[in-house]
Amino acid sequence: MLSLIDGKGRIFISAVLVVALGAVMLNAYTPTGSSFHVPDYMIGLIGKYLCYALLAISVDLVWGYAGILSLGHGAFFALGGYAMGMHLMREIGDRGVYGNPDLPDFMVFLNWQELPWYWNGFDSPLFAILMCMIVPGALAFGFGWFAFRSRVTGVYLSIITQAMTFALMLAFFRNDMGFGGNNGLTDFKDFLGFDLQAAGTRSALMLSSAAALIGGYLVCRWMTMSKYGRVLAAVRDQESRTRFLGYRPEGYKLVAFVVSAMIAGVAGALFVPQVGIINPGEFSPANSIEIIVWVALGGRGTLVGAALGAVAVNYLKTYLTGALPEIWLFALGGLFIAVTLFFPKGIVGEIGRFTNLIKRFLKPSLPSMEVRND
Amino acid sequence: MRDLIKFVALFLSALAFASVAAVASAQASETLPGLTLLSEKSASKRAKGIEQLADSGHPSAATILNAMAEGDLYFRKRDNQLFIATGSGDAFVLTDPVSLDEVGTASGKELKKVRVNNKLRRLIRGFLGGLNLTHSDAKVRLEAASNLLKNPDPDQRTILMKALEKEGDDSVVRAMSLAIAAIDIRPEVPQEKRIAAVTTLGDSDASEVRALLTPLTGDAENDIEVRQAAIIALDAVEDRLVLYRAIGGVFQGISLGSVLLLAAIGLAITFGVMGVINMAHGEMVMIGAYVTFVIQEAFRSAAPEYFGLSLAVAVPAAFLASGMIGIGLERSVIRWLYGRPLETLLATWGVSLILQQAVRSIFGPTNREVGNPEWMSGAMELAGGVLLTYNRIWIIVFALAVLFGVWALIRFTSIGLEMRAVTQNRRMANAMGIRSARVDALTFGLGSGVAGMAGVALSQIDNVSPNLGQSYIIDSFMVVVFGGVGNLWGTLVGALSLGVVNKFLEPVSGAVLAKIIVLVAIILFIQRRPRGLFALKGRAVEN
Amino acid sequence: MTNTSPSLTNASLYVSGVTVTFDGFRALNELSLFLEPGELRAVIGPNGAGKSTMMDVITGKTRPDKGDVLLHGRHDLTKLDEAAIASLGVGRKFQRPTVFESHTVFENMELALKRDRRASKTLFARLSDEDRDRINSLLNEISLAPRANDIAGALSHGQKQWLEIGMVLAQEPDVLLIDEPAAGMTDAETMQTAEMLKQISGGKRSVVVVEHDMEFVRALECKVTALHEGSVLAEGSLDAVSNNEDVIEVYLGR
Repeated sequence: MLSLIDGKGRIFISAVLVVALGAVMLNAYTPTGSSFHVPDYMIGLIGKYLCYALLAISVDLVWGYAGILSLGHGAFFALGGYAMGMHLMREIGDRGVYGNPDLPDFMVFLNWQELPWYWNGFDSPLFAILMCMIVPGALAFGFGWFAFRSRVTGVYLSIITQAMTFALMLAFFRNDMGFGGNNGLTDFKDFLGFDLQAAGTRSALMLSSAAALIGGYLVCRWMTMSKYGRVLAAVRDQESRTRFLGYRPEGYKLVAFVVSAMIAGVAGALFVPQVGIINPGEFSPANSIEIIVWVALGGRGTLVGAALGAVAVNYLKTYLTGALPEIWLFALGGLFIAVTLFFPKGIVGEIGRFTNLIKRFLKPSLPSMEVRND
Repeated sequence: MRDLIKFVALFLSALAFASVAAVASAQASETLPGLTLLSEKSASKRAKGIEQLADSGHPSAATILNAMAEGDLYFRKRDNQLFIATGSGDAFVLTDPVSLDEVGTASGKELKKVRVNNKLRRLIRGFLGGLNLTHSDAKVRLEAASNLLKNPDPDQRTILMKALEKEGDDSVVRAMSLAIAAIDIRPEVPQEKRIAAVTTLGDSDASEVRALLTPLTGDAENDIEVRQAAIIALDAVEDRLVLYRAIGGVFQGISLGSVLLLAAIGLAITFGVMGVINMAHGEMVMIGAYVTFVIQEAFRSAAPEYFGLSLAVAVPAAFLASGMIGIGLERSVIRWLYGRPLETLLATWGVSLILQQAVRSIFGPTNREVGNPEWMSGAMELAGGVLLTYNRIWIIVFALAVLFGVWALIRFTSIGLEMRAVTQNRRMANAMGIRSARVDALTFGLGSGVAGMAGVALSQIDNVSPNLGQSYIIDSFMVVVFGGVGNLWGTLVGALSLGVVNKFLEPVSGAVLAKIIVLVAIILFIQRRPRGLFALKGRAVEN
Repeated sequence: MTNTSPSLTNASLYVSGVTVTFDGFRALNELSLFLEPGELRAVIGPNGAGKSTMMDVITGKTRPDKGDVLLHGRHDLTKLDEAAIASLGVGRKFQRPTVFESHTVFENMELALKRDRRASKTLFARLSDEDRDRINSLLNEISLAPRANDIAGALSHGQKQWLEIGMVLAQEPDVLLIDEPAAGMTDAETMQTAEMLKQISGGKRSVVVVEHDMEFVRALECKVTALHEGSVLAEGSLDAVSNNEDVIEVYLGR
């Protein structure tokens, strides 16, 4: 039986802590211009990467352990982001362009007279944070309940998850939905009374993202290490066999799907105040499928690998879209092909195979594995 | 009307130019009754002239009156000779109003315009309507009658009746009777006649009828019997209008459905027959559209007179281009991933990104202009103002032809037989000497090639941009999944029903919401019947 | 056709008049089968006789068009899904060994062990010493104790068959359905398996074994049911069945 935090986990958690705390220290205590100084924008960037890493872990929980290739996880991320964005809009109060104390700017612009009912409650940060999890969780529950019970699996499931996020994207683009339409929610001022532009607030948000990442990792790790996790993996490998053992795979998948959606929602909620905007583009199917390549590159079914892949791909994206924008889509496309064709186990999986080889080489007396014949 | 006359004038002037250019001094050959009155100062005399001219029934009378209304009629100051003149400044081309021959040029100083005021213009228009009613071209007569239906003019009734007696063309007869009825519904007319006129109007599908009948159904109409007849007639008209709208909706739906069908047929082959999820399918469509663009450019620069043929060249070219890319894709990427649908999905998504960016790099990110050849532009009008555009009709025909072609290929050819054999039992097919690798590549090439042909059709109705494929991929997957995988008829029914449902929802809910409703409905449907509408049953599909 | 007609409540498994049609093809045609508590039964029949479909119907994978399937005379299996039927105590071993290949042998047994199957319970489940002992003793029974911590995917074909039998046993079923357990086994393994099955039944559990191998069926020393075209052709001792004229005609004739 493996313990909750294994070697990989220790390295991962330490690395997250060192990077997050180190960056905050260097940002606060080194003079601007020093070669050790971490500029404010870098803090925001690290925070963004940490949110993506958390999102990747949530996808790995369903893809790596439950075999559900969700092409719609961006929707849960975006819903969490919108829930947070709504609170941040409320916190603007009468400091908007139109100075209306009751309505966000875009509603004033659209000539709305009163706040739609579903905006009620978002004045409270606690309510908003709960909604960041409840809304994606509820959508995942409703969607998963229908899908898993009807035994929709494999590519069919992938396609309808993609259709789900596509439908949501179209819906959120509409002005009369009351979520700011095309432009989304933006121009945030502060959160819990702290100025979002201030270095201290940025650092705190980034540290919260780091904490959420570690927390999310531990939740997923705990789930996958339990007997539940072993049943889930059994469902992934041989779904019908588990039925004949008396398990109901739909329940197992549903739990994973809902938890995963909630984690994705948290990632979205932390993402929004750090980048300062949430718009319907986050729902686009292309975004969701991009998450899959993070996980695939890092190593599916390893959690740590998913986080690593998210950071690696997004670093590459930040670099390439800045330096060689034409190349970025070629690189991303090539990555999809290369990972599926040549590194199906991803970075972490390949490292694992490599270390196994070395161990075998160093201990030639080890009994050889029996040849698989299936 | 005006264009037509200009065209005639230009045409004639070109003809006449060579023969008459030498004539230095223009001379009118003949005069018509009333013609000389047109250059008079007094408006009432000119009006009389117009009347006499119109009554003469001379073939040139309409042209002269038209020219007058347009301000193209002049008289020469020195001899009061009338000319139709076009041009400006020093260079007016003179046309003899009677013979309509070009008779020379004159400077603006020598000429004076025949003045027309609004009253005269109205008079002219009235007479013109009457003249056109007896024109030799049925089209002109029809238009004149329709104009009178739009603006019923009691003064024209006699002319209409006379014209109607002589009329031989059915559609013109109908239009004239309607125009008469439109005049006869006025309160001044005796009750019997009015009711007959109302009934005539009620039987018609012309779009003006509703506006004519509606006032008669209200309190403003004093004659109760007429009012009742009008109510009945209006009801009938509106019932038929609902029907026509429905027909129009079905057509729109079938049109959208045929577009979906085109995009989905290729997918039905790669996904339905081979089980390969090709996320780059939309890009195959997009490439087909760009092939069309390239070929049209080539036609424009090398042989613009054959532009109408560009699509006929583009269809096979797009098939080959997309098909070759498809075969390359299958040989280089997909064949390593058979049996791993999720990995295939990811790898082909990567391919789609690369293809999109490649096209963006080559052709730029903006929309490219792809033209409709002449035989595809325009529209035909069904009754009641329902328009069927020719490009949509052609696309429906094309989609069905492609579907039939693919079906026939799979059903009747030896490669089709091999395809079916490989899908059903790969090992057995191999054992029988079928090279399944070759069949895989060809099948995938076929699916991609069909997508390319779809691109040719889409280029006619949609913007050709690198994102073209993206907008169709989800819809086409929905069609294939909804219709039932591995079943071409399911694809047909799926595409058409999605198209029609979408178009019927649109007026109720708006386009975006309609799309969302349809997507949600399909998501729910797939969860009810995961294998689609036309699912195969039995043990063969259990695993 | 059947020469037995036990009372409804007495039979541990009661299959009566079951018909299943796939696209016009009758996979099962008025099939009836009664199983006494603790009975070991061999079902034979050529390919397409309906053996696998029969198992699919009993375990809830396939819904019959008509007919009754009752467990212990109380539970109507045609109304239940696979998981519910399995939880009622019907275990199934597939023709091709299906074990969870990325799990260890021990974990495979752990998943099969008769415990609460709900997701919410498994999240907090801990393996008790009692469970551990039970798994180890079962592993001894199927001769896989030394390989407990190996990945199941690394087992040989025969070992996978045994592991699957072990898993079915860990479910503690009252009725076992076993599909061609001897397929692909060596002669020695085949005989060992026959012994294992006789022990498993041992008058405590009802066991249905579907098999082609006549030597194996003989070694089971039990009542035999011969299926043909979806219904029962003959039933009785192996000798009686193999001398039945209909059976001879189906197997050898035409």
